[in-house]
Amino acid sequence: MTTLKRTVPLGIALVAGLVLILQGFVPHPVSGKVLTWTQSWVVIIAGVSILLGVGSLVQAHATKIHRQSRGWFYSAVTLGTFGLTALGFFHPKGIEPGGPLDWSYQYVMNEMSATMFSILGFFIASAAFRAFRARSVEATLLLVAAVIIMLGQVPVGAYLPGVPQVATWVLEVPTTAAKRAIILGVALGSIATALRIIFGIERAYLGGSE
Amino acid sequence: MSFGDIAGLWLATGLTLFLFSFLYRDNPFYKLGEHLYLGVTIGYMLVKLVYETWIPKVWNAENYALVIPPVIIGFLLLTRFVPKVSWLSRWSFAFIIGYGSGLAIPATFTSIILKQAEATTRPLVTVPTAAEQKALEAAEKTLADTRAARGNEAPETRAAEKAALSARRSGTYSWVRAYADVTTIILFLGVFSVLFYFFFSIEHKGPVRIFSRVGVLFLMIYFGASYGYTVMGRFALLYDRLLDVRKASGGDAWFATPIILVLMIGVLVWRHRTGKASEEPSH
Amino acid sequence: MRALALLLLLQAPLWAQLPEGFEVYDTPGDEGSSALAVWKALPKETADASYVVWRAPAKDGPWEEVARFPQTAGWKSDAPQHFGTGSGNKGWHWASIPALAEPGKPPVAMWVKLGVEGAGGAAESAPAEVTPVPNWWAWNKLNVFLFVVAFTCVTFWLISRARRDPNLFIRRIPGLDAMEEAIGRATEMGKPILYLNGLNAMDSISTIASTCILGQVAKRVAAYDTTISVPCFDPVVMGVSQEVMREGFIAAGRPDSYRSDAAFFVTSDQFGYVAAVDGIMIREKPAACFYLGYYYAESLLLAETGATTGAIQIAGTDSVTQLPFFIATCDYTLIGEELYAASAYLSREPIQLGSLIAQDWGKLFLLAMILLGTVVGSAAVVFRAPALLFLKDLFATYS
Repeated sequence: MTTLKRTVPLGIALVAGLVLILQGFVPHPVSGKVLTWTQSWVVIIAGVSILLGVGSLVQAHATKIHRQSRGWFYSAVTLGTFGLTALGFFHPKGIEPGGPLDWSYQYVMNEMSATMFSILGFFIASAAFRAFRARSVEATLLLVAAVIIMLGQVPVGAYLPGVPQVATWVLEVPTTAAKRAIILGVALGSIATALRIIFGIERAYLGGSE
Repeated sequence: MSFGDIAGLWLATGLTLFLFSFLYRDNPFYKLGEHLYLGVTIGYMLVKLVYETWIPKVWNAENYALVIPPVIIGFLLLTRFVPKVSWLSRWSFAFIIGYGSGLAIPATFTSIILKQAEATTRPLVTVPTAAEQKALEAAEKTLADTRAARGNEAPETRAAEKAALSARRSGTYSWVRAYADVTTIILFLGVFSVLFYFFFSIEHKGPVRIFSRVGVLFLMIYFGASYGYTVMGRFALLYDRLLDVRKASGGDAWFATPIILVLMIGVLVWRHRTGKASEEPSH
Repeated sequence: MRALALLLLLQAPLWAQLPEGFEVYDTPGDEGSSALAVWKALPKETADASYVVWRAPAKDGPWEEVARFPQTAGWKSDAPQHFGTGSGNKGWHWASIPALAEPGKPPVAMWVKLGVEGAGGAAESAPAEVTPVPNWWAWNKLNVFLFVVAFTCVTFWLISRARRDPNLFIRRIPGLDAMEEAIGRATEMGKPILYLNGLNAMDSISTIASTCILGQVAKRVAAYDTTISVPCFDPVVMGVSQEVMREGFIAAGRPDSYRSDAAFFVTSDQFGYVAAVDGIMIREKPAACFYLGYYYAESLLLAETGATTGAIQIAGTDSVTQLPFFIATCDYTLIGEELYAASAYLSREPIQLGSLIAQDWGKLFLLAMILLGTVVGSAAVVFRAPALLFLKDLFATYS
């Protein structure tokens, strides 16, 4: 049983990983096919996995409603709107424009996404007020860089001598340097992590030993 | 506007104001908006996947032999609902994680490490090339000749002076060149010191401490600059959104914004008066 | 008249002279989609005269033009992806000839000829035969392959060394030390911990790293007997989170305290997820919020809401664009690769630490190569020795 529960998945990860690494070095069309296949596999798996998500969600909210626990009404709202939207599948227009799903996309999802996104306008200011207090050399540097770049972006900044030039320099030199170093470190770290997974050094995702 | 559009506009405006009410504190309107939004997104996603993945890629697939394995792997995930056999889902996890890891290794290396390393590996000092020096000599000679022939004030002499000046910039070690070199050196120092800061197996003591502190300073400039760079864009988003809300306050939208706003405020004040609001957590 | 004819005869070969060294061969390391033609530059080349390359399915045609460029263009040195940066490229032209066979179909032979066209006349070379075939190895990515192999070997060697001598030095990472404190505080306050895995799917390395950290966090959560809540953006990530947490609870000796509904699916819609998680934050008021993984614009929406609830906040992301917002709103932020180091750091297992040190070795190698390249490059410029620039090939990316 341990073989099925541990060894087989470790083998699957190893084989899948090695095949995709090698794929990157083989120009033959066969290698391209392997990549296209596996990519479409991942899409299909994701398509099936939504059932896992929906199941988990329905279970959680149904339990809340069943137990009449606090806020159960809102769980009913979620399940109700979920059911209603999903029923749109049976509409002859499906997800095409003019159908009920397109309507809910346009008037609910799109609008609410835009609203949540726009709240960033408040948060970017409130977070800055709290964080950008010049308490140390580092924090002062953070503040100064932020102010220079902000001034460089607004029309007023163009009237201040030197500001646009300094802003450009800050973006092109120290900013690029730090970003580049972070990206390089991240790249090495992600390769190290990927190797840990492929060779089974990191296997927490395989869950409990029993 | 059709009835569907008016209804949609009312719904959109209402939900927008419900979500904005979050900035005040948690309240029934936000909860309603949030849960409604959640239900719609999942319903929509499910139907979209049926139309865009299940039907074209599985049901109408050209070659079923290629589709059966991922469908099996996908359905193994669903064993999570049956605790006794839920370990089978690990096979699917292993495939997805192995796939992601394998794909990342060569891609990260070619598209990130080599590219960034290549961009960083630049000569720290530049000197005029032989061609640039030759061009300078030629320009100086032209200038001298023009001056001798036309005098100091002639437009030709002025043009030749200009040409000689720009040739001097590249043909000698000028301030322009020095500035470019200093910039390259700072960039190089920045990349080195920040990468140094990330070393895990070196204790940050003595010179290492100083050098990695330089790295921290570079990081701070980056964080500040990057934050500052985003601010205006985020304000613009908020501004656009508020404009939309204002647009929905006119007669053609049947005064959606003011009516909903007044109703919301009325309910919130009533809840506050009756003490119901204190049951809700505030920020 | 006779004199004019003689003059033309004398001049024509000068203009229509054919280059030497014309050669056609299959493009190495490609999927069989092209062949390469190379030839030596003529002693006298002008921008008004052109090189023309034709291909045909048979020796006697029909001929189809596939390349035409002025004699002053098309240099081998402009195409390091095929010819490297060696000095041997100087004074050579090249052209790429697309294969006759469709991609994925069996290779087909073709004939290629080179022509010279100028004001004074034209000339054509004898046709040469070539068959573009799919290759099994991309030699131009050898540097990448060697690095991957070397990195793997070094990782395994360091792991075996770590097994022998487990007393490895790893510097303190304050954000990770703070995790333990945060979990302790949550226990004291009797409030839950909120753990987010980021908004990427399970095949993203950031998400994989985040679930590994969750395993370590779960161990401590189990040991302290506190509660944890993991709202997930992706159903597969939810499944993996449940598995790693179960493993963590078992490792801490408290398998009974594990609840599978601690990790639950919210939605895969970016802002729908944010709305729901923000709601959870202000209602449950977690003692600690952990944001580990890859984030997009929602980072600030999550972390700023968390900050207003008074939770201890620890973030870790490799998303360079979102780092500034976590820095501004969180108590501790793991920057970039620290996210990948976290699980090894927290586990304290020699195997994991060994692979963490391999990450350092990779960095050291990279820094050494950049330093070497910079020094040699600077020397090449100062001493005007372009031959030293061969080092550029080491970093060349030909994908």
